[in-house]
Amino acid sequence: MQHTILFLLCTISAVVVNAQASGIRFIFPEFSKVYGAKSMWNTYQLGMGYDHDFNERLSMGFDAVIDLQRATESGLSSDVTYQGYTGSYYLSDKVFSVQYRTAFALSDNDEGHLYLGTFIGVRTVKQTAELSYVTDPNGYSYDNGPFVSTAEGKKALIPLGLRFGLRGSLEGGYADLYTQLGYVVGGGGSTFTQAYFKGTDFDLTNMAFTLGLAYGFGW
Amino acid sequence: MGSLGLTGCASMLNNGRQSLTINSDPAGATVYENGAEVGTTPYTYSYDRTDGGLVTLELRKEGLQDRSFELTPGRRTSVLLVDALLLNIPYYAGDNKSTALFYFPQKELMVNMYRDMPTDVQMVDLPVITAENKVAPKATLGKVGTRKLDLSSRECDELEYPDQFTSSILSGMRETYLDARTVRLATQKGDEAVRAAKVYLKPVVKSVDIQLTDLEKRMYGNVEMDIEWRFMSGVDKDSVLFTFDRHTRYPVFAEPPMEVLGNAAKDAARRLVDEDGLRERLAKVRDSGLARSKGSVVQLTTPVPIAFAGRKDMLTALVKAVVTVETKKGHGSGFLITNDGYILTNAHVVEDQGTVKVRFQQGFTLEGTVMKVNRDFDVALIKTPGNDMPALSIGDDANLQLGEELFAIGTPLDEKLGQTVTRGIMSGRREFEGRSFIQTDVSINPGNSGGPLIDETGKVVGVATLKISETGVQGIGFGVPMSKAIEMLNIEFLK
Repeated sequence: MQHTILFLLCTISAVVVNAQASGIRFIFPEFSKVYGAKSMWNTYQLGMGYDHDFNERLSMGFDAVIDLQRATESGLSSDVTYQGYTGSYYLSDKVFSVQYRTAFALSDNDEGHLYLGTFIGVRTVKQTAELSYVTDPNGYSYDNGPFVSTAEGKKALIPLGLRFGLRGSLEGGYADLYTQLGYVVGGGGSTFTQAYFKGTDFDLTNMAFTLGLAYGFGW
Repeated sequence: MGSLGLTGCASMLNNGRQSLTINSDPAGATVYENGAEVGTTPYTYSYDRTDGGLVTLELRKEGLQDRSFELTPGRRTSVLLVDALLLNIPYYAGDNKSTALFYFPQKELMVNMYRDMPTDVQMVDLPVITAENKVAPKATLGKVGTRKLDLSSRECDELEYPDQFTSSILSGMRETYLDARTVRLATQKGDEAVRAAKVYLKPVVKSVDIQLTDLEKRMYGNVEMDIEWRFMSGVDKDSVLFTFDRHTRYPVFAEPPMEVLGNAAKDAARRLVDEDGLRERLAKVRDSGLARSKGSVVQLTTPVPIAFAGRKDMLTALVKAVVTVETKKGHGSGFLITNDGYILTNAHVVEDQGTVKVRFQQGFTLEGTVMKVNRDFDVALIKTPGNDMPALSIGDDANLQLGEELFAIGTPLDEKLGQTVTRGIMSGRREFEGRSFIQTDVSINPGNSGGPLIDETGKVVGVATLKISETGVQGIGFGVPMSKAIEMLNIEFLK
């Protein structure tokens, strides 16, 4: 994690030295697959970013996005089982991501162009699961049982992979329609330490998939 | 370690040339790299990381014009792709000096060198008409990579629009001894320009072969053209005086696609300028054309000299032989050269009119017939009816000395100012495009044109013709020497 941040900082400082054409982007909306069992539409994000063209082919950028779902508090619910008991949990989360991306323009990036590139980032996920009720093997319901009433967990993931998109020239206003596909290092389980949460709908995906639209202005 | 590995991976893509042999036509030119002498052509330039993808080379050879150009290597996009996919780590994005990013798509760069233009040569007026394209409309004109070119290809726009092609030809002739400009025949201005120059150029494009490689919107390769340069007579329309049928090969190096053909045309034109003996041939054509404008012989009777007692009476007596020539567009001056009514004036005074009104000093006006006009030398002969008219005696302009007093008599500005006398000196003799002039500081104003320049003995030595009228310029006027006026109107005086 520290190494990644160091790498990003080094790149930022170097970019400032070699500025060619730059822009600020507003990302809205961006959909990312965060949970293996849920569709990407569950994570509805917005954010800001920075774009920079090194030359007519090569570009880079940084993005920071947050998940809007926490604002709406529309969480996920899932049942967990342990020793014959079933606990119904209601999950809320906070997802924040930053990423560094590069792009190779398939044609001159001074005009509208398709691009292909890579990305690497850090995604922090904070999960809070509230226990609603517990059902025992005989079908009786309780307020609690062998489960914690509130579980909290936090995890930093590293999504990385390929990015493909369609972007306009950085001069003036521009837009970027993009998709990202890759792997999430650290994904595959939930943030919780309790073993009974493993294999539930709260597990974070290890496949990175994002679809987004951004608008920006450049100089 | 990882970075080194990635760098090595990207370097594997770097299998192109990073050196380039620079040759010149003719060979043996000294090569300067960023101002420092590095060798002679053929010279192998090796891309240097410190050049940052751009180097200025200059070729110099005695007797030839220096050629300076920027050597821009092609950018290896595959390396950029790898760079982007590897998060810009291998080369660190934006490192334009990275050697592996650049390469030369061809082994050799040929630079056409042109002759040095001496500054003291006389300019040759050369009207150029729109180039004729004889390339078949659907013919293949070459290739860019595997893409076939025809007239509709953007690289061939110049051929599609011959005016543009002709402009490129003209820019190739710029800063040479040719004063080239485009003209359109069958227009008053165009015909006048062609007539005055005695010759005009008609470029005929017979074939074009473009072989290019496109690299990052820059073209590399060659353009070969067959152009027939037809030098046409400005006197006898549609007659070819001489031609140069030339095949040219223009080396293209890192040029935008739209400029390739124009630059090839420019090069072909510049090579034409360097043709041995072209300037002399054009001068000969002009001289023979000028000589032809004399026309047939006009025999006139030598006038009886106007009598005057001395210097004091001279001008009072001579003004009687000076007239005002009125046309529909204005007026000028003239003077009698025979007692039977022959008047000499400027061609630009009578313009294209067959008859003019001639107002005499005595107050009466007669209709004059324009007998002969030589526009090249700006002189005209008018005949008015009459006998025993006072006429000026012809002087010897060859013996005029610098500083010798000259008088001009004419009708400047307004007809009411008829027979105005001004005085100055002979300032020099000038030659412009085969035409000789007497330079004088005598006050010559609009309306004075066609009037006589009279020497101290009371004889006419020139025809006041023009003056330089620019802000801050004073006292620079020109007259056609009388001997030239008589020669160019082919006048013979009988005793």
